[in-house]
Amino acid sequence: MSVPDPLLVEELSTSPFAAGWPHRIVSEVVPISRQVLYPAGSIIFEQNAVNRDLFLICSGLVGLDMRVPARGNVRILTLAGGELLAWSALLGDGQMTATATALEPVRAIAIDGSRLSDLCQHRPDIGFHVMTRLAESLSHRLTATRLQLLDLYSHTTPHVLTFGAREH
Amino acid sequence: MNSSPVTAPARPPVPENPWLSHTVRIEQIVPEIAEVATYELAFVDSTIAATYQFQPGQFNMLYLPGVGEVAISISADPRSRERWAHTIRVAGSVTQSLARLQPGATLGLRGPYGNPWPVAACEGRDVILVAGGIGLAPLRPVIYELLANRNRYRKVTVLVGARTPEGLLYPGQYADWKAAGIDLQTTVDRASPGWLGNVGVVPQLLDRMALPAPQETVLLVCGPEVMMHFTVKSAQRRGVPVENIWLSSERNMQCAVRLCGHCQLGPTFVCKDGPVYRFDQIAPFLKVEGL
Repeated sequence: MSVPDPLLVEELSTSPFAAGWPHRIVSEVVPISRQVLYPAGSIIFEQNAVNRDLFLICSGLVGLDMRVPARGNVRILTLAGGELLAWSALLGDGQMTATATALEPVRAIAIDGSRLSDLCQHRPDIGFHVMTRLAESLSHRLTATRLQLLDLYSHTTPHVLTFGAREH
Repeated sequence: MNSSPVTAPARPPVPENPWLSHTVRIEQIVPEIAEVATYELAFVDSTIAATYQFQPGQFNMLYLPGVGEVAISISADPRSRERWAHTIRVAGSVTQSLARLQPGATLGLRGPYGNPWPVAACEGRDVILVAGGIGLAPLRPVIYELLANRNRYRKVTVLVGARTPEGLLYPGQYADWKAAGIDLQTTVDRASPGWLGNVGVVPQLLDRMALPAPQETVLLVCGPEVMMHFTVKSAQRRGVPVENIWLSSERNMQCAVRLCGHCQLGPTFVCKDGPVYRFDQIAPFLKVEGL
């Protein structure tokens, strides 16, 4: 039986993803996890490619780009330490919906998506913790996307404050 | 360390005759972003200039004869003694007329009015300023104040959000602010080609920040109300006490002396009781549509 990397255990258990999890849950996830490093400018995964890892970003900035006809790659979001990347590895078929690029040196924990999925299926206690955290992350991301859609800083948007110049 | 409740700043005195406009001359117009410019104004009467003072967060009424008046927050350094900056977005008839003026033109100014940011109460604490769009303008005097006495405050963070990279206000000052010990982070809703910074909304920057001492952190927020709402939620989730959260609100301010009632927000009047409020003082009214 291999000894888990103590740094990985520490990194995972103190991450927002696993914060508050019982030690026994963390210790089940550690064996299917590994630490990964991406130099600035490197591609973590590409849109439409299959990626099997769920990433928990420890540090660094990751850009998410989508290819748009006639516009090229459009950056839709950046992710930073503490945030999750590549949900499709766990929830979908592993086909990525965006391209992820390390904008700075990125340190992350890669969790094997299919093995995590198996773990969640066979161990409902682990499944509950993982899916709860995943749902929280999705909820935050959805709210942020809604705010982006609102286009709050557009001065043509009604009922939006533009301090210093509200006239009637 | 300072974990005592943040107390409201003393209400500044209103001008002796709050209706009296003083003539100011446009010394310089600095284009900022699309349809936004900073007007450097100087009093024609040097005796007025010698005594004029404002506190960060206060506003002036700018008057164009034959057109009207508009409330404009002061974006100047509070230590200014010769010129007072006002960052103005073209929005209505007065600001449209202002936008047609050139340096050397004169207009009327009365003020300052309103309650300021609780800058003195930030001493000994971590301070986070969160600005959305042109909301950085009323917070810039706070930044000047914090920089002038940097050692009185612990970690100072400024989070700025804008629609696009081209919409970031005062980008020419960011390097100086960073060099002076401010952790400045920017984010945009929509990236332009070549933008290598954050993309996403400004509350996300707050979500990512380490808050080692939330009880000793003061949050000052100015921007669209929806953005302020989610910023405040993020801060509260992280343990920042409600009495440490302050925001600058805005309504249609016309008289600036609590007479006309146009800027009423619940039982308060933004021109007199605001524009800077402690969050819990106005939280119930921000949820009411139409207020």
